[in-house]
Amino acid sequence: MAIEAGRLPALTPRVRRHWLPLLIAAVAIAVVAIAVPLFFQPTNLLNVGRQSAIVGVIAIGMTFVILTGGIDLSVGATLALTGVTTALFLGAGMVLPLAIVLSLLVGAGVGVLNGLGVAVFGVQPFIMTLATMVAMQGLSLRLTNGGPKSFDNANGFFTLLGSGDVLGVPGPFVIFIVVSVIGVLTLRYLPFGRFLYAIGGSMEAARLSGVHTSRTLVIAYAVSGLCAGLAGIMSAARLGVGDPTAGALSNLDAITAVVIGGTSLAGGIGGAVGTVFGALLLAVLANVLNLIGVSPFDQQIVKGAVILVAVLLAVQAIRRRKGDRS
Amino acid sequence: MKGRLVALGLALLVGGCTAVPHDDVPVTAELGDRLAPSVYCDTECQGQLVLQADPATVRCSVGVSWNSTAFPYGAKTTQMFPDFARKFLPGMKVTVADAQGDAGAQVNQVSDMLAKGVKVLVISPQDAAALRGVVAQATRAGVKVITADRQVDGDVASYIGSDNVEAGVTDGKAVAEALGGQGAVVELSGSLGASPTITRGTGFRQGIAGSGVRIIATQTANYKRADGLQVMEDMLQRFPRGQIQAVYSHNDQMTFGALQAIREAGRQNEIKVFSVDGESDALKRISAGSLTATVGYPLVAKEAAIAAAKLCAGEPLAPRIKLESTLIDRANVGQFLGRPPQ
Repeated sequence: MAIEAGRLPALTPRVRRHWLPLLIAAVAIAVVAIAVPLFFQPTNLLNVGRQSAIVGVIAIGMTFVILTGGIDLSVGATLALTGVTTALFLGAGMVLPLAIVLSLLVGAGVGVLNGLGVAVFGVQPFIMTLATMVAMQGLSLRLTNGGPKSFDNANGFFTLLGSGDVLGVPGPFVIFIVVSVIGVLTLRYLPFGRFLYAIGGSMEAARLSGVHTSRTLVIAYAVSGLCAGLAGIMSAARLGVGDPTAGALSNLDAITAVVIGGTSLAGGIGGAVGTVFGALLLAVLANVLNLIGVSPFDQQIVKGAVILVAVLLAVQAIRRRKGDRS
Repeated sequence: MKGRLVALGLALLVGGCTAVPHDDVPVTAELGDRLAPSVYCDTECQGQLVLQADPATVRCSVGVSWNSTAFPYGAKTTQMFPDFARKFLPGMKVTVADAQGDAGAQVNQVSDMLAKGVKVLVISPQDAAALRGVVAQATRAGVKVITADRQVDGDVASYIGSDNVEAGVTDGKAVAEALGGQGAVVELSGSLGASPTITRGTGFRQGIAGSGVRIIATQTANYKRADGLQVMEDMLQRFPRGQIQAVYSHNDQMTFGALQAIREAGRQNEIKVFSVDGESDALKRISAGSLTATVGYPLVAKEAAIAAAKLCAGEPLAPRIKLESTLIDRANVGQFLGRPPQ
């Protein structure tokens, strides 16, 4: 799992740094291939791609926030809220593009609220986003009276976001990849991306070297909210309803994907490429456990263990990386 | 022109006024037009819920404490109970509290209700043991307690609700019959450890016992539509064409997800799907033919309100009032379409 840096290291140290995770990934794939031949059936691979997309899109946005040393617990609730608003807008007869844009704005708006709380009012990110999470859960339930809101999703483009495919590749997975590419490029090459690393490294140092820290933080949280909003629209498109209780645990899944991907919760180290692999790993794990037929109780134990091992490897990689710097 | 507009406005205003009934609660199919239990209350249940007193004379304060309204069942019940009371029991003062899935919060809310002096407490406990203390406290203070949908440890005036085990048994028998006593079933279970999950699972196993129907996989989809879709996709992958004859799902929302996965895999003709709950969407799918059957798990709002009124009026109440777990399939769905269990 690659870790971005401002400079491109020579190939050899990169391989040296990543040989252990790469080896483990290779072994894991080999084990899965032998134990679960069903996994590599094309329809199953397409399923896994589709299943990884929603958490993946959220996790890319989450990467932006975690790189600053923050956290966004509100993404699951934002997903539910924008799924609900999409359903309500479409149910009220609004044209699709407008419904999508407005729902994306709702998502970004929740993010801006988080960002203002954190950057301007100095609230701890954990508490600020916990507060918006609870409030948005309530708002979704209020808007739907507690039950899923169905709507007519006959529109072809909207189907594409959920169940459809582009040249055989599931629509949601295409969106995930597009969002990932934008995320990776932004973090690597745009000044805004580099500012996030600077803030995560040291807020004070970033400020002193001329980074507009408040504005950067607000945008980071807005990106996270925007991604969660997109995920909510994708979820509504996939299910054909706006479910006010959807995505309840996807905030934790997204954080897990980011951390497995090698981004430090302390901020300043990591990147979006790792997050893509983290999200894929979670989806593959859930799928394989179902294919093997592991009992639901044991699944949770196995998931916990795999996450722990993956995070330990990621932490090792971060340590080595810090060693490289000094 | 201006005059005509004014006249039009006046006409609208007058028309609007006369069209609005004085009663602020609209007549809906769900509430009904009189003080009567739902269609899921059978003859015995109806006999237990006859209010002797004149409804207009029933005056008392009732507290409704629900474990969670983050699910359609809790949300609908806590809205329907006060609406039904306002419409048919004008002297009943209803206070509703939502514990948001937190037993501790529910204990506090019930304590507050007792302090405010409710005469009857209708409670759907988050946890049978955790709420025991405060329910006993209510009983000692002379408050009559009705448990609705779920039970609590200890003595109460009455327990109203349908039976999850029975719902599972009904589905199990229906599956065995539909498959001709032979076949493989995938079970989508609810949240692990939740009491409806355990009882709906146990009942189903009792229902298929003795037949050649076997459960080839059980996997949780957390009562959620998105999870039902994903788990079913994986199950269809694990068991290729011809290996699954039926799906038993613990609630309608998971069922809707599973139906989508089955349809997308093009296997709707070889897999029969059985569910529990009876949401109006489920009934529509049954009449359209995509869902085989669902067992109604009816709301208890009207029954609980009438029972509370009986206690207010000092009338005796049966300790157990059971609502039917009706199997709704293509043959009888017509009679339930306008009044779904949930």
